[in-house]
Amino acid sequence: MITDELENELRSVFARSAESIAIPQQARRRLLQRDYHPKTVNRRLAAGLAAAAIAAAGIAVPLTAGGGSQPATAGPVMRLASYTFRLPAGYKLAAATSPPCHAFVVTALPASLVPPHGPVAQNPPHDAGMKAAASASGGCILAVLAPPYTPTTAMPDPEAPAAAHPVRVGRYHGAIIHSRIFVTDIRNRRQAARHGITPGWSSFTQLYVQLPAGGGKMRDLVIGAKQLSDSALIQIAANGLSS
Amino acid sequence: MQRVTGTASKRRFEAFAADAADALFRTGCLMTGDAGEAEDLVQETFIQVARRWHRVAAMDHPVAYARRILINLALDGARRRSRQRAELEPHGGQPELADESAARALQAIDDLAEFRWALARLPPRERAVLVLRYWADLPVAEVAATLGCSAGTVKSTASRGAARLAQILTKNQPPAGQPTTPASSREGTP
Repeated sequence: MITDELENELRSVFARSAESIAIPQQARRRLLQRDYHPKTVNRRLAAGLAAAAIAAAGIAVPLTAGGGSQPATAGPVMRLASYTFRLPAGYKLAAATSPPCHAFVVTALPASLVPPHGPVAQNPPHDAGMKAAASASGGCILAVLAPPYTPTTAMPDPEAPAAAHPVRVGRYHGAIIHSRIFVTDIRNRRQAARHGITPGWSSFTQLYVQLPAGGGKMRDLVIGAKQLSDSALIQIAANGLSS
Repeated sequence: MQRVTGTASKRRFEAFAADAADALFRTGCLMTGDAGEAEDLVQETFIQVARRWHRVAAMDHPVAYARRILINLALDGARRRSRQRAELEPHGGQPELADESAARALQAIDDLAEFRWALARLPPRERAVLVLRYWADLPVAEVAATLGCSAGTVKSTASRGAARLAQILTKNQPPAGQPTTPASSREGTP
């Protein structure tokens, strides 16, 4: 049995030795400049639930509204974790993988990642999951809580794009950004066609709200809108977070 | 959306890599005694972490997970090298130094490069146990889980490794002309 004295000496000499090792600047640059292509989806989970895989990566929420700004408190209620969001009139709760929401979630993945069958029910993708609602005019709301993270001074919110503008969402900090995406790409065009999705550009607004997750960590509620004003979107989020 | 997903995830990975690079490099140096090899280990570790980033990002301690990968890569590399080497250094036999003498030998270290040179002479598994237990300061159970062995094995390996380390420091000196710092980096600075 190793004695306490020897253990203490070992700790001391290891600490001193490690302190004397500095990573050379050029080596550090070489290591950090390389593009490691971090994977954003779990291939097994992606089998059958593309939306959930996107949720795990903390993807934003496209919302295709019926047109123009709408009252934020006239429609159905969407529950996400312990939060309750009142949606605009004309929306009905729907599966994220059903039309029209699937246009955003299925096309975000290469076809090879989405086989026709998958044990989705046995593999819940995320504790909070993803919620969706759709309107008869083809609108869609997808709501997701991103995984917890530890904010740093350099990166207070790693989920939100750097170009997002800070906003206040009730008593929480948030960031909002207007994005334009191509809803399908060359790799999954065949799959998109199978689901009746026409490739094309789509503009939407994303809202990231930083929520405390305990233990010094934060997590983002990510929500967005198309053809919905920033203020209406923020109101939906703020009302839901204060409920 | 794919672009948006990739951007957020990539930024999180980059932040992780920037945070973890120093600690992983130091662990790599302690495991190999060579800055170039340490850099290769850190790079391979980042590659492997990136492959599993969708899971690693949600972990409480992604750096600990990365360190585990690095240690196992270092052990794999050591095994490969030892298979390739024609002449193996004699690692067999039990070290003779008692704990008290070993502690004295460690206390007497004033050249940390000499310590790293001696550490590099240990069998890889003993080195890994000492690095994880006394540099990473992991509990015995966690070292055992990382290396896939029992807690008893960790304790006995740590004891044997510490004694052997002290014995090397007491009886041997680095050969003349052999670098005693973690080998020169690729740009030629120590």
